[in-house]
Amino acid sequence: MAATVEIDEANGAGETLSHNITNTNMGNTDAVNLDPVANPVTPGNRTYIKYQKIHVTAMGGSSAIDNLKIWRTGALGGSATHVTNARESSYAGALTYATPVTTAVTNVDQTMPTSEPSGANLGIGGSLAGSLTATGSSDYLGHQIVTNGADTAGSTSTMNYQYDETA
Amino acid sequence: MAQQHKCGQCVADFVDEATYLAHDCPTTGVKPTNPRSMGPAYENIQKAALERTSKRQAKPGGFNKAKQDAAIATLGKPVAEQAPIQ
Repeated sequence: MAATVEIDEANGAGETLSHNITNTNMGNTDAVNLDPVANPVTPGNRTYIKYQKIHVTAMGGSSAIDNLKIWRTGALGGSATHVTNARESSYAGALTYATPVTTAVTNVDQTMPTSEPSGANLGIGGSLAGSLTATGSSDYLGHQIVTNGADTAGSTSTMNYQYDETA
Repeated sequence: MAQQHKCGQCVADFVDEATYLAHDCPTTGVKPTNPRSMGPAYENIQKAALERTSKRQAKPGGFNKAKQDAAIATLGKPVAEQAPIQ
């Protein structure tokens, strides 16, 4: 046996938490598992920020989950950029949830890595050195795509959420 | 306002996390605490997570080629974003 892990996403003013999401599609609506074609971003605007976390629902006999790493593989459309609070140094602590917006969010200003980071870039309990020794969740990962006014098409890519586990 | 919980697979609503964790999801066929809820690659995901820790804790000189070659599996989620055609 080993731990059972899922990705959760929070939405809305009341912080509705959707567990075990099926995708992290980005668009012009604050919704989980959204349809990006039905909710396109106006070129030059930002997508709604995503607030997501890694949730351990069962330890499965293991003793710890740690070393959380987040990155994206695959290119974005046009000149779009992808910003996040995930970072390997000068981590700002746990990101506080607020109703998702299409404007810039404090501390969600780092470029999303496009390859596996060398060290943890998402914290647990506000620290990159944190660990889960029982069921629980990571800090919120915030991320948002910033499109360019000249962009004409979107893209598809993959978000990677990685954890290490101690038996 | 109390936080609401929703299953991202079957879209059912729950009053709290404990109720969510206890439900038998009709989409995955198991409870959220069952490793099979992680999808068909759940065994590879779990194995890779354990292997990474073993590698980190290995002493210098204790390098294990088999572990290096172990498949790296992560919880991949597709991303799509769409801007209108101008």
